[in-house]
Amino acid sequence: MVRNADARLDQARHDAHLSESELFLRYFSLGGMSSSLQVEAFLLGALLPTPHDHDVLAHALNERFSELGADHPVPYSGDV
Amino acid sequence: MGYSNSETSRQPSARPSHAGHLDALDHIEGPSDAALVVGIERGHPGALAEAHRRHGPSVYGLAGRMCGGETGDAGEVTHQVFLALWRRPERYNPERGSLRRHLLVQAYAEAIKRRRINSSRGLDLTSGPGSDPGGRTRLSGHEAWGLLARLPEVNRGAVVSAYFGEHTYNEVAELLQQQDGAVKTHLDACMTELRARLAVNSFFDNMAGGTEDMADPETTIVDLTVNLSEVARALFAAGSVVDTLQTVVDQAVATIDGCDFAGIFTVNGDEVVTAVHSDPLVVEIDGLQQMTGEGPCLDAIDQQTTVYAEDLADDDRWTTFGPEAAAAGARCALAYHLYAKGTLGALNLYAHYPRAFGATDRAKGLIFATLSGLALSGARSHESEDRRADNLNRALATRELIGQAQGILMERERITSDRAFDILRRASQHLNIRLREVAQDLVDTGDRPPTRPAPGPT
Repeated sequence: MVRNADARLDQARHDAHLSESELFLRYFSLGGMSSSLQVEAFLLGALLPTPHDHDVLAHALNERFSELGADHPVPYSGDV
Repeated sequence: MGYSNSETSRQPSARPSHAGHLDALDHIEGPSDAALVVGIERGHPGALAEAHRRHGPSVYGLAGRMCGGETGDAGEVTHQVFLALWRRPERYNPERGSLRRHLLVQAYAEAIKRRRINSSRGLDLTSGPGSDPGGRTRLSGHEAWGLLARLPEVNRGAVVSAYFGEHTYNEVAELLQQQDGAVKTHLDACMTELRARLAVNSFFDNMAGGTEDMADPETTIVDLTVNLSEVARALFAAGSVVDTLQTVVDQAVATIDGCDFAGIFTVNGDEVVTAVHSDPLVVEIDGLQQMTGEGPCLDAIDQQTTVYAEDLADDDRWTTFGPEAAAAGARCALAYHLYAKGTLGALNLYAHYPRAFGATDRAKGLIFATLSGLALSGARSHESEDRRADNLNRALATRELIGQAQGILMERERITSDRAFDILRRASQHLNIRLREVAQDLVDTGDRPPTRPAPGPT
């Protein structure tokens, strides 16, 4: 389920060397509609993102991993 | 505009006081302002009423002028100022001036805050519950988007940052105000001029008793101040850091009698970079210092002080560099360490002849060094602000582009925006290019991006 993947979102953010605001900026540029507080809550597991929000965040992280020369390690909601 | 005691819900004993008298202050006639503040600290409404009786009219008068005749606002400002005095009397520091001055400064700040809120109403920033000055009302996502669509591009960065930071309406309004380049430039120039004047004053204070070779100090101050105002104005009007520093150097050569050529260098690690100069000879001399690893300008940076070399041909401090510099045409050098945030640098004045710089010249040099330091610090902070605004603007542009691509797909395939994002995202994975580029392709060519059959595990 998506919830299991969310626990990994914040870990992935750490691994990708992104601050919360940097990740939010990327999420935002990809069209994310949630506020920075909500995104922080997603990362902390306090709020459950919609599958779409999850995918936008996952994609923001995966693009970052590509920049770092890594694969796309963060699963999308449909993948699980 | 009468002050109402209805705000006096605070318990008199709620805050400890550092004064042990004035318990019966309500009945004392003519206590000093300082005593009134002590009374307010101890929770005496009478002390506040007396302060209001004495200073309320001045505060109201200033507020009225600031608020441009909106009497309701002036009353509000006055009310806020005295309310603040009641709640936080410790904010008044007698060492910094009279109580009246303190209250007027507060009124000024409060009126400015209100002006900003009022002026931003034109942008419709406060058309909701924004009339609550202390309110923490937040912009919802949709409100933020509505705003962005209506704003000129230059202001978008500020609004986006406000949105990111979850600022209140009022904070957004203030952010917008700060983005106003003209205001900022004006403030910077004022601040620079002020500091330059301070530098002049402190220099002449220090010179007391040692002004034998100086022209009439009074005339010199006037001359300098006129010159400096011009430099200060040029300083922040100039486009780039380099333009600004070049102005300083040119003015230094023009204004300082003994100075034949001048330059500013900065140090990055081991490397000395001549940022600006008035003559190619400066680069040569700077290079000599770097090669020999010694010289007055390097010492000025190391020791964070001013170094004066009367005659480089004969100076024990730099036995290698000195004679070489003299041979190249620089007999005399005056180097100032620059006080700049995050940058090491020196303003270096040179002369063809020994003992070229008198006391007045050295005073002028110090002021130019102050200006250079300010320019460097200011320029750096401008640059980092610009970078942040750039990031935000780029993010916005990407978002708009992706939105367009989604729109095309939604229209063409009669799907939701989430589904359209999914198509773009899968194409980005499949082609291993950024989603932004997929969107750009779609917008440019109209071709549907290729995706693997969805949904498919890897």
